[in-house]
Amino acid sequence: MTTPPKFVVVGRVNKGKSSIVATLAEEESIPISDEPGTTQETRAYSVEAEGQVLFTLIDTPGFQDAPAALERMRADRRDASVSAAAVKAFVDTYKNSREFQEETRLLAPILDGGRILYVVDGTVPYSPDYEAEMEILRWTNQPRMALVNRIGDGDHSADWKKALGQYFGLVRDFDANRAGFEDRIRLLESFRELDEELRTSLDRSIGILKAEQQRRRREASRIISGLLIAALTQRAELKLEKHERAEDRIEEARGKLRSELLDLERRAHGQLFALYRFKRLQSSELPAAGLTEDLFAEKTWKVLGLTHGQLLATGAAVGAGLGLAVDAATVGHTFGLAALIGGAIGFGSALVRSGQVLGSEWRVVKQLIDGHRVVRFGPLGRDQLPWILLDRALIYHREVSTRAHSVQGQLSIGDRDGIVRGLSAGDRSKGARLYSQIAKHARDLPDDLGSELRAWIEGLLPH
Amino acid sequence: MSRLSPGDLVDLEARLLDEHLETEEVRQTRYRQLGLRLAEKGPLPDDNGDLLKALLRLDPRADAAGRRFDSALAILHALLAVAGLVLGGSLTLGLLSNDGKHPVNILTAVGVLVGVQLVILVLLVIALFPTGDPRASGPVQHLLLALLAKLGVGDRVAAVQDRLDAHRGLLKWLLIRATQVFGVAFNVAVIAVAFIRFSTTDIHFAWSSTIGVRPETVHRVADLVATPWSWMADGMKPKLTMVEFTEYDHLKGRYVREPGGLSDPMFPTLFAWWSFLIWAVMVYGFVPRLVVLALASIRVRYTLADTPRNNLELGRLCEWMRSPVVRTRPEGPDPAPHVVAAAPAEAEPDLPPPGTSVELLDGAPPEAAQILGARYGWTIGTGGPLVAVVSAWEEPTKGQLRRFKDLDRLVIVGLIDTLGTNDPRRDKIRARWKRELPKVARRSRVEAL
Repeated sequence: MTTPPKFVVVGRVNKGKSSIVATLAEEESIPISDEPGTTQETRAYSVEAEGQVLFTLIDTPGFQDAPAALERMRADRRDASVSAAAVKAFVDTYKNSREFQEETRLLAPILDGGRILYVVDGTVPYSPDYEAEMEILRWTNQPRMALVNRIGDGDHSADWKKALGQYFGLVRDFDANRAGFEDRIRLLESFRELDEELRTSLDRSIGILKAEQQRRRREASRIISGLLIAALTQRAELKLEKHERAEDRIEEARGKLRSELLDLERRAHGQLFALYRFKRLQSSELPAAGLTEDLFAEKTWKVLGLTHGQLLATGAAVGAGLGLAVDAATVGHTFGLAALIGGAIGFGSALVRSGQVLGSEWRVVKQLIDGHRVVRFGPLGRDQLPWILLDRALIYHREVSTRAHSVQGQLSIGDRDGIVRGLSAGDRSKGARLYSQIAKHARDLPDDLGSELRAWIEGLLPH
Repeated sequence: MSRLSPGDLVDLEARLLDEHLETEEVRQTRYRQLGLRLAEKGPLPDDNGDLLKALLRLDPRADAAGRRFDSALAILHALLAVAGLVLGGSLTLGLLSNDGKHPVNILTAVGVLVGVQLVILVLLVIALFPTGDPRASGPVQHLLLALLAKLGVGDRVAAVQDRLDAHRGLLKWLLIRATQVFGVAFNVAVIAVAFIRFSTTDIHFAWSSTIGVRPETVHRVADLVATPWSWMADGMKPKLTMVEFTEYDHLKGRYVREPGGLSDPMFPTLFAWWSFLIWAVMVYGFVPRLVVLALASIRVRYTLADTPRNNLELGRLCEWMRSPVVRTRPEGPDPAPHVVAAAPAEAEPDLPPPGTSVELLDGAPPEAAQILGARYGWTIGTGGPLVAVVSAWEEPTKGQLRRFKDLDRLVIVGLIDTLGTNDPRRDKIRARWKRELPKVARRSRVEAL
């Protein structure tokens, strides 16, 4: 079996080395700050599958005095054939010294066989004083790639690429804070081209990472489906005392159901964050209107979910669909009348329900065993509520699935319309049909209905 | 492809319930490990049902109730079948016995053997209508729970009964199937015992009425009841003469129409009701029970086959078993937080006056001398304050700072920005020069050029 590759991420201080490691390794615990010298020691982060290392990323302190270090190495180098030996001699000489501490720390793993990922900031001007560190890296004779990171707003990447091309086999743009899954894979593929030795092991790693990304999509769709099913079927029950009126407990039951639903939503969001390996995020950190706002806040209902017109059109489409089935069953003998009537009924029913209070359904049941009366409330509603829950979940999914692990703090979501309003009419009809069917099966949901909902939601998630 | 047994599903649901509070990460790792252990024995099955069965075999829980649930179901079926046979047989024997005084009342026999069953069947159909709370309940469920309690797993199964019912009302359909086992056994016993009775003894039938029902009315009802089978042959249809001949008067203890001798054509009709009775039990008792039994069995089988394929939770277990766990492992302990020492709290010295000769540190850009002259009126020479002109975009490094260490001269670092943008990063870098430079140089100043 081939040894898994090690990538040593090096560069000047504060150029985003740790950010690149965090993004490539999907590790949010790596200390990142705009204070230079945050990384004092080299630290390896191994990406593993089944306990087997796919590749290792080594975060290093930045170059602090490359020109002086190069000068010392030059003293030991008789000719180009012994460049690597000169670097090794330098590391051996200074490894226990306080002088050139950072340089020895970052060069040691390279001399140990690590491939080089050299990071520069393409948003600041190129300066020739970088050439000393590039030269040292060239002397190591290790396969190396330069990454032009973007920390600020300027763009000097063309100058950088010209200079980097002199020293590195490959130069790639890589914005650590914006890189998504595809960018990470492209980077690994680039290295695969650069270093023949790594091809087999990187191919395997790329395959595993792609499969993992697909698994996450499926899992995300399961989490969201589970939330929607709960929202469509969840009911609250309160035991009534003797002579107590059910009407007096309705608000309490409604509050109980709302709070249960909020808990379920929070849990589902937490699962989404954990799935994409953001354990430190909390859904309460999301700042946008309709997201930080409570699920049941007026603002949420204004910004997210379907518009009133879309809800009515969807109701009509579902009704017409059912009618069409009747028309088809009569081999057209009903002349499309059933579809017309079904559409009208669907529209009317959506219109009536749109004016209803959330979860207006309640009834009193008598328990068989102890004879107690119980007021049973809910589900909360199958029209707008599942669309809002879906919208919130899709927005969170979009944000965490595309968020780089180098980005710290809150998710940055703008105050904009949600996702579900942009769905096609076909998707909206399908969703409404599924919601309606699920709502009918409060306690004995057919598994294939859950599975159909999951497949539909998976189709809504970005690839 | 293999189907889960109800007991397998009990065990799987119990696992899911037990793991409810565990993190996904822990569960994913556990199931992948189990998947790997299974893979050691051969390729993992593609079918989820096979995989889940293999999982249960590989990792049985000590307190698993599944096997005992299956046993309890089998015992329940056996008990109900025996009860059906005994009850059906004894009831038929009781109803079809000649006491030597009166003939068998055909209306009572049909009412008891068919009518009661029809009422129960109608109640079952009504119970199957969706009500929003289709949880199974009733005497058969209590019998099953009692059996499970005897087997020591009553509580564990009771804990997952809602979860079982969540699979297309599985528990409810299991119980319906069990009741139909009783129903089919009952009808089989009725038909068998009736046949035996009819074959081995002469049972004559009669009917009578207190409220004066006319034979024509009884005939119409009998004709209606016989509709499902009377089309098969002419003889299958109940005849009016048969109804008229078998009208009975209990007070007088004889048929209303007293038969003549053995050659009287009335005689055969006294026994002719037997086929009507058999057909009625067959059509209204046995066949509906068999159909409901078949439907319930198909439903249970379909649910058990469909659940591993489509259930979200079980699908997740299968996916975990099949997919490698990808994670990142940092090596070594977490690094200590980086603490930056504050700068000495001393005011920066004043700038040298214009005309001062300053020494420019090597490595400065070519335009540096011109800028210093134009902005500060300094001339470049040797000795005097040392001026280092560096990029305003680069952080101070140890290498740069080392050059100013312990110098007795005033050190001035000029940060040059040829772009002239207002990037806030420049201010931060300048602040860091102001913080770091005084730590190495005795007298120093930082200027933005």
